[in-house]
Amino acid sequence: MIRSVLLPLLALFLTLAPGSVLAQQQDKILLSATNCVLELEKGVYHLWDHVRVESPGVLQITCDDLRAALPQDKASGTSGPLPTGGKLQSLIASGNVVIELFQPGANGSTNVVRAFGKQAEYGSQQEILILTGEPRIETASGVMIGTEALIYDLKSRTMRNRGSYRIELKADILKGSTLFNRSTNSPKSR
Amino acid sequence: MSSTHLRSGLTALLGLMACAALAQGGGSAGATNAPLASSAATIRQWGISLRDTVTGRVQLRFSSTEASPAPSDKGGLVPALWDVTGLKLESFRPDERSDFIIESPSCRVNVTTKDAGSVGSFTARRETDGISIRGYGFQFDGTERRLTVTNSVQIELRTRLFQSKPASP
Repeated sequence: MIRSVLLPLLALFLTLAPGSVLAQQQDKILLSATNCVLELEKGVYHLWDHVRVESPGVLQITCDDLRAALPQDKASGTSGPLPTGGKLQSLIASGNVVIELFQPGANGSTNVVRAFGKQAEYGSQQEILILTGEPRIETASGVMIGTEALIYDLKSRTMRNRGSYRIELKADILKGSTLFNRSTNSPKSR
Repeated sequence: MSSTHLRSGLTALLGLMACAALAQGGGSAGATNAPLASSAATIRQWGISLRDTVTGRVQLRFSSTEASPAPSDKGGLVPALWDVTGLKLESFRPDERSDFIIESPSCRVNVTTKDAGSVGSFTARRETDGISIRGYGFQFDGTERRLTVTNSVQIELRTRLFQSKPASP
């Protein structure tokens, strides 16, 4: 019962802010690492050692190993700010994956949602981010821990899970809540 | 023979070696045989275009401000191997449109295997989609169009990680 109440609460926290984040996102992705092999014609990039993926103001991923596919559109022209060629098709981050999602908060502050796991996989077709390998998501309101996979749907901005999960909420989130402010049958103290 | 004649002779010989290397690699060379005062074994405005043996279309174009034949491990000169300064390596698509452009202040080029590499800095870019790469320590395999970086790389992609969702009414 309580899970059915708290899960949407956490999901709400995760899903409210991305709308404004997406509106702010910039058309730029920065990848850095110590080593890489880039198949320029195929558009297959493999980076390893101190890998960082940064979409300024939107998110940052750090990991040990990253494989990205950016197939080159043979027919892509040269005009337009976002050519169809070079669009990120898939991204697989593995080894000590840390994802930080930056979300604008109240009064110009920035909220950070952190996700941890052994592997994160993004596919542009379904636009989902799958976090596996002891996946854990930390927000200001609590922690969500999955046993198998936590899946964030970027289209619907919703979170779902594969396998069981556990949510640990900080006590602060219930302050002022009417959730437990119910009348009881116990006699009132005189 | 005077030293000037000797220099001219050596430079002409180097030009010949470049052409010989290109004949092996199926390319064509264009080098200005202007000898430098510092070294007779340096060619200014060195350039080579490597073509597809079947279609004849340009695949790769190496050009540099200076180039000199690189010595082999045994000490002799290898016709296909060049130490170049100010490299500009341009790769082309099958339709001969420009693809990646790699630039390096100093590197070694093998025109037979179509490789270029350096432990120093380099930049690469593709105009059509705005990808830019920079780093240190690279090896470019011109046959496979593979760029390997071994000592720090930064890649900038002009694309979106996620597609933005239209604003709800």
